[in-house]
Amino acid sequence: MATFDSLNGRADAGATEAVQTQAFDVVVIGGGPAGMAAALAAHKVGAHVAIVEREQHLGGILRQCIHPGFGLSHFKQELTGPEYAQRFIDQVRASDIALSLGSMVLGIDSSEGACVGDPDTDEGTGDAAVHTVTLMSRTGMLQLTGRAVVLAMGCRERTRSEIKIPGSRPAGVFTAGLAQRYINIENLKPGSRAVILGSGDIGLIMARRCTLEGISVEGVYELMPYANGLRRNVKNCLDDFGIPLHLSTTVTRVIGHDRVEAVEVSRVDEHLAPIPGNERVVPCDTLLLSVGLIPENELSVGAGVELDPRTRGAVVDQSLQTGVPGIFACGNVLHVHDLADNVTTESERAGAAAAAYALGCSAGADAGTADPGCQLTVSPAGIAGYALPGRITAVALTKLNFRVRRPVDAARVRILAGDEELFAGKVRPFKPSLMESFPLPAKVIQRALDLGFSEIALSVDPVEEA
Amino acid sequence: MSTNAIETLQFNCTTCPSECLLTVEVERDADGAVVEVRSVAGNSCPRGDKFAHQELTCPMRVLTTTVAVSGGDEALLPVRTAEAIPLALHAQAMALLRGLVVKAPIRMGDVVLPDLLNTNINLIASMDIDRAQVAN
Amino acid sequence: MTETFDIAIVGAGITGCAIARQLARFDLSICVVEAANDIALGASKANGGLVHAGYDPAPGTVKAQVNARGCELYSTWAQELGFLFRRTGSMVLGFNDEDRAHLEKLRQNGLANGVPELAIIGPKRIRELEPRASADATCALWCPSTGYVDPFEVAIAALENAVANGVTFMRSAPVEAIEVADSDDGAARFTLATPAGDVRCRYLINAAGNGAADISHMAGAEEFQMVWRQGNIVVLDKEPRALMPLYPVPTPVSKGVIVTGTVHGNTVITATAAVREPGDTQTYATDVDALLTGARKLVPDLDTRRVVRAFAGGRPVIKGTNDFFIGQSVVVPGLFQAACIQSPGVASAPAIAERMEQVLRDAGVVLRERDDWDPIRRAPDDFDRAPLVRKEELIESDPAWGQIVCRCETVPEAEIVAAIRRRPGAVSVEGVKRRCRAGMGRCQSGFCQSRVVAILARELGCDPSEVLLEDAGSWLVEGPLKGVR
Repeated sequence: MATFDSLNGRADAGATEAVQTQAFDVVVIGGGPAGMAAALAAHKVGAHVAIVEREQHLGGILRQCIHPGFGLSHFKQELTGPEYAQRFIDQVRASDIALSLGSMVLGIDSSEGACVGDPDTDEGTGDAAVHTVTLMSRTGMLQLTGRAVVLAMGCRERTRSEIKIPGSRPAGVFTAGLAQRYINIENLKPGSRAVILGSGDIGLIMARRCTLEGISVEGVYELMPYANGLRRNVKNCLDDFGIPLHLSTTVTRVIGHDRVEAVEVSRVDEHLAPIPGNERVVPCDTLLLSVGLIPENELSVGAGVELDPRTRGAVVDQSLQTGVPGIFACGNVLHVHDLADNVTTESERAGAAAAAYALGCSAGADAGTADPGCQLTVSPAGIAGYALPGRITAVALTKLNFRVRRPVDAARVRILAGDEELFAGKVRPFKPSLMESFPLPAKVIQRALDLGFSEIALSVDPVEEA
Repeated sequence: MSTNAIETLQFNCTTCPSECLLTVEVERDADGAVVEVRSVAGNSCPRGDKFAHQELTCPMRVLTTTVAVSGGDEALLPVRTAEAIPLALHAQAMALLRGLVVKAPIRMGDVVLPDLLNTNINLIASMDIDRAQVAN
Repeated sequence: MTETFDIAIVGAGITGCAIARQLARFDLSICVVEAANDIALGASKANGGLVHAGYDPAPGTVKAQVNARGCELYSTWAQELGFLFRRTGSMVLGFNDEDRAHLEKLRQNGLANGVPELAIIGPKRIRELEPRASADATCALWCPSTGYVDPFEVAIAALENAVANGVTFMRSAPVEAIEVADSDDGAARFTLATPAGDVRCRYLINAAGNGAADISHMAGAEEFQMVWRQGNIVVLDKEPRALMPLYPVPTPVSKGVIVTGTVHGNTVITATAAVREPGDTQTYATDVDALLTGARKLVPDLDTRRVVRAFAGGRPVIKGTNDFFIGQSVVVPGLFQAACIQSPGVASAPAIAERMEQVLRDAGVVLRERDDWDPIRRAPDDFDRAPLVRKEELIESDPAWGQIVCRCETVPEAEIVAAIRRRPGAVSVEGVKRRCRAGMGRCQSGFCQSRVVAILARELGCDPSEVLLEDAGSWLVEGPLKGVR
């Protein structure tokens, strides 16, 4: 491990001095599970890697996700969030991956000639642009250049304003993650009597966490007619403590001038619109919102990366490369995951692909090598809410991720090109709370190309049960 | 004469991400106590059967929470029970841990409190916490 | 505790702050008495920040005079007080012949009010000026003098400058009673009772916004009847380029739903108008929907999903008049009213202050200019806007400038500390937000709130459980959960 603290001793030349620059093969933005996995994967194949993390510690949001449920697929054992993170932190610390902690990235400049590259690795990449990442920390401004950049900034929580809950604006309305931070990191009790809106995993976990810490949870309210979190969380977080889950019900008004005094809840109809006349006032001093996550892509947009309006993450190809050559994305900044293990798997792919790009060799970048003539866009159809990657540039087995928009007991995945069905999966249930993955065989891609298509659709179509 | 009742329950197995929906037939005595788990269906592996029996006799959960830290670069240390403990003990454990303060530095896996509430299970650290750095 | 001043100004909204700043140049002792714990917490807070040009008030009204003059004065005020002001110009969009006739009436009105360079323009010019304006707009009133400000910043900057010139600011001091001595013998005539202590003054200026009727009543002066004409406002996320203010053809009671950029690059949609229960600052689903629908009419490609904040407030409207009341009470000499300052209160503020000075002069108040008056307020450093070189300097001067607290708006710790330490400084999480934008962005403080609470607790020397979101009673957290017996 190296830190910049020693490297960053600034000369006394003053303000006119140019910002100090460090050159890397791969610069990873974000030191959470995605960033660490990407950095380790890139490092493993010999890339010179830096991680930029805005907190003083690595681990990202996992540091406050103290509950179990992590690692079941990656480590084959159930870990807490901090344990899952610590295992990666230990690996990063044992490596010579450079760390810029307490550092905030202000921008990524990918324009050609933005900066000079590292002459040691100046081979095989031709005239590819070098990316300059400008960051700030308590020790000053710094610029890191990378032949490749991995975006791993994670996501933020949807706010009260975005879901437009009317009423007053008192203290006591918190996103679930902020309340989690108060309780698990800051050692502060955010209230005594809480209502939770949203039955996603964070909402469910916080219901248990509040209860254990002596904050009574009046109920969990869910707009949809089904719970949005994993079943294990409904069972272990609500059922274990007798916390009621109110489906098809939402908060329609916040009451209280200075501090929350109550919330008004209403049942909703099949169009999710509140049904007038059945409002109920639930006294409480705290409203926790677990109403969705949004990839935090302001930096990406600033770097010229195109976003998919469905995921609100970057449009990527099969190697997780964005539309800007050399910029890759993974984890929750790309699309919101429900399991950290999936973030790790995806980020390892992004890290390896970024390293392969930076080092200018194809070894270890199997799916990353573009085939001339292969230009397919992938779009969702049926009840699939999105499909990722949105672009395929290589004829190789490709992992497609998607999420359905509503739960169904019986549906199948179909790959369509125009009216042609190229592939049909087996009939099975799907639910929106689970990110699905589907291996797209190389021969299906080849078939689409042979038929002259430039676009395929991943369609999830409900079927009548036999 | 037996007044025992037979009841059919449905719940999800939480042993692995498959989350099989179990259908469990259970015999209870007049007080509602479980006499026998008669059948378990819906599980796709033997762990589901074991889980159902445990769940109906004495549900076990890993408890995760925090304890206060002194001299650390974080105020709280995330902790867990090394193994699941009876769910019924969680509230008591929380009360016990409220006043506990541990000293930094701490490494993941360090035993924070041995033999929590005579369960034979240790409370262990979930994460490293370093000593607080002197402010510059 | 009783303090005596030449002048007490009740209300630290934009009107009161502007008047305080205007009068601070004279050899007078002045106190601004505010009911809330911070500046601009009433009508000035629930405001779209537009500096309307002044083409809609009826010619000859006080409003017409101070609006156009206020708009003009903003250039100087922005320069002296170091706040952000953009004179962008604006368009009132018309969609048919009836609208066009109305636009022509507005133009005539504007000419009578002295609004410069008004013109009726066609579709081509509309698109040149604002490419995102609705393609259905067939005509527009182009008004180059319109602009926008951050209304908090204006009020804060004005009062900071006033305080720097010796004005006293009393916060959390709601006036509960006013005693008026029988004769003006040159001594203090008014005694204001507040929980923070009594204030005695020779002259009293009522700039209490929605509380103006109460103050006037307590002093035994004019009986105003306030009407709570409530407005909802929506703020959308930042755009690569801030929108030019676009207005619909106004209705009899309001200017209609206006879409505008802000000095920070967000889009604001302002405002609905509905008479509601006094004090109601709730947002309503119907109002928010009306705003978003109205906005899309003017800017069809507006992404109305990206709501950062919705809020509401009441315009200080007095029953029976649509005009501002700026003058000496005819019942209680020595009491000066700046009442009924509804829209365009922000645009008019500098001119209301100027007019108040004249009113005092006309009433025989001796206004002697001080030779040590400093009109300049040095704005706090804004890290996000600072050039790279300045950023480096700041971090070198104090590492806390390199410690980001609010990531949406790029606000470092040192900027927050400065917001708390300035005079008058922030005493709440929202007060910090209004001064340096920490928590103002798209995540609405989900990321930074706990950190701002910690900084406030440290700087104010209190426990986190005593830190307030806004005013009294708005506690954010209870005590610690762990390490306690």
